[in-house]
Amino acid sequence: MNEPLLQVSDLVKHYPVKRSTPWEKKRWVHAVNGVSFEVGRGETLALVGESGCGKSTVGKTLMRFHEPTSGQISFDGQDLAALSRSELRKMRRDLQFVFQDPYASLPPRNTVGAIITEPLEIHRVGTAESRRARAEELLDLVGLRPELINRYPHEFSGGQRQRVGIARALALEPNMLILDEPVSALDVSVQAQVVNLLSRLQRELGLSYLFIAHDLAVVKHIAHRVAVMYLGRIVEIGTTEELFANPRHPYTQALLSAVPVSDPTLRGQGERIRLIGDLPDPVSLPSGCSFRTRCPIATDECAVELPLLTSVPEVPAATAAACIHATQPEVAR
Amino acid sequence: MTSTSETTPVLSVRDLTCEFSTAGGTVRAVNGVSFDLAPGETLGVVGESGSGKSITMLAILGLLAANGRITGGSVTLDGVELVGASEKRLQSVRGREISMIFQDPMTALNPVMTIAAQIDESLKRHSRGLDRRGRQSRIIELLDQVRIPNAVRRARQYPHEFSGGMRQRAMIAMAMANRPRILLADEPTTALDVTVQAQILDLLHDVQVETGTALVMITHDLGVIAEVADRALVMYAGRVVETGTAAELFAEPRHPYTRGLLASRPTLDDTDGGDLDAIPGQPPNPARLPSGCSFRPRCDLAQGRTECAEAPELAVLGEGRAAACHFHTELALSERPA
Repeated sequence: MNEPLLQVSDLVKHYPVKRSTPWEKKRWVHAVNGVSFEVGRGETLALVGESGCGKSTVGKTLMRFHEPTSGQISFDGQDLAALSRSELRKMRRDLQFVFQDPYASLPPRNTVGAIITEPLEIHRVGTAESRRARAEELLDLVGLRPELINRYPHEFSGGQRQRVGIARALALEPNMLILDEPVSALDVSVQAQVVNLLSRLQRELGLSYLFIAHDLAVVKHIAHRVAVMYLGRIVEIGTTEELFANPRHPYTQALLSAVPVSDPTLRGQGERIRLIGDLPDPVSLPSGCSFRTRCPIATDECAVELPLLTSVPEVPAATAAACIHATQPEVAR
Repeated sequence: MTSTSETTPVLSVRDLTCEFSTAGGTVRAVNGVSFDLAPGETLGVVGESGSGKSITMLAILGLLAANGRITGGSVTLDGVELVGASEKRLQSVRGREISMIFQDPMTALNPVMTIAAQIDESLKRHSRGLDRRGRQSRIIELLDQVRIPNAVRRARQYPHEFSGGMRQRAMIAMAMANRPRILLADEPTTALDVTVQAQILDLLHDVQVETGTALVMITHDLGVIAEVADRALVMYAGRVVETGTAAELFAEPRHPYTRGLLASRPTLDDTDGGDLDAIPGQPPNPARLPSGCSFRPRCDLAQGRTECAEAPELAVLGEGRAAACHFHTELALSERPA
């Protein structure tokens, strides 16, 4: 892989907590607390974690739907944080977003043709006629009949609406899509269709994906690399193969062991790690390692220092894990 | 049909049919559903949106919306008919004999009542033998049973002070308050994170072992079925299309829909990275079902075959094993290694 398409370093996003009185102390929700990763061209990086881990905030901050508190984002060699509004608009042609809920993210009073051509209009691409032709082409690309161009979103099923959302995101021929839980609102029998569509589009168009999801089975299927988030930090990152085969961070291990078995005959097999307690309040994070309050192997040292993401030099394929007790993969394998 | 020979079922549903009157005409949401529930067993009900799985359970409890009604069939609890029973009789069944828990505990719990007061309401109604102190200690016992830490303090709190997982625990405590014989759980873990889902599934299992209640687990997630169900029903477009033990359904599905669902889902055990075997099309709108077999437009066995223009009967394949497909024998053959 050459120069990565997207480079994020030390991204931080804190939201102010609404005060009920003006003399109350100002407090912050620590949604994203120093996240760094790269996405290569044609690559899928999955951002996984449970609700409140900050994965969606990362995606929205990259789009600058929200302004980052600090950190650098470089996309295609450009520093996103430094861009002006008009430069940002240009950049958005190359970086597009697909929303989770295909019911809420399409304007109900517009035809799908109007929805798909809107980005082209905003960016003043082509004539009305050529835009319409492009919309038909895009419908075909995402597996919908071009004749449906004059239909309204309510005439479509959830899976079809998500295809429309993807067609809209592809209208300006972006290099990269940020996909925020793109299949989790869909019926099970339809999820596979959309997963296959995303794989095909990546192959045909050479797209990069930042795939934000909580469903680990889908992630294992679609991602090249995976970053696991907990309370606004990446606790483990590595290739999909390695992370699922040899998870090193106790949180990753717990997450994987919580996934239901795929077959009743496997019931009760495999190690079960059950987390206790709830996610700590992101307004006041625990000292040291954020996971220590629920970690089965935490020690006193874990409260002292924030563990950094470290890789194992002897095993280049190993994941980088942010845990002072991270299990070392056997050096000779 | 699916009767378990050794034990008398606690709940028997026969040919249950429910219809809703809508602006677009009458919609048959549940179409001839039959099953038995043995004491203490876990029955999984799998289906997608519009399959009729939730409506079936609401109908059992007499809780259909105002525009819906049961138009046929029977529901018997210990041999006593519930279809057509008085509201008073149904009220004495709900929460005492049969309890229900829902996907979203926040909408099912009353936001302005403490957890203790909500459990107390149900105890007052159904456990008349308990006085105030008896009820108080039962509430704490229940919260302990669902592993809510600091039960005494937590009992005095309101639902918004609980996390999602804790709310679902409180719902389970409330449902178990009067030691019901049957617990109907409608997607109880769908809104929860995977680590919390695992805790709640464990908890439901433990509660079931401790109390001997029968559990009906309604879900769209085959993983949940694989994890908890003894037997399962697969529902599609208002009908039961396949029944069997969970092991049978996963090892040898005999309906193309079941087989399709199993083949289309990615799992952590997958090794190849190829495309998923997706089922084409989408689940039908219950208001506009295809004629004949409802799965016909999406089915790879049906293509061009005239038999499928007629809705297939649920064919009995063995003890508790049935499939509603004209060509189920072909699936049995195709499963055998060549």
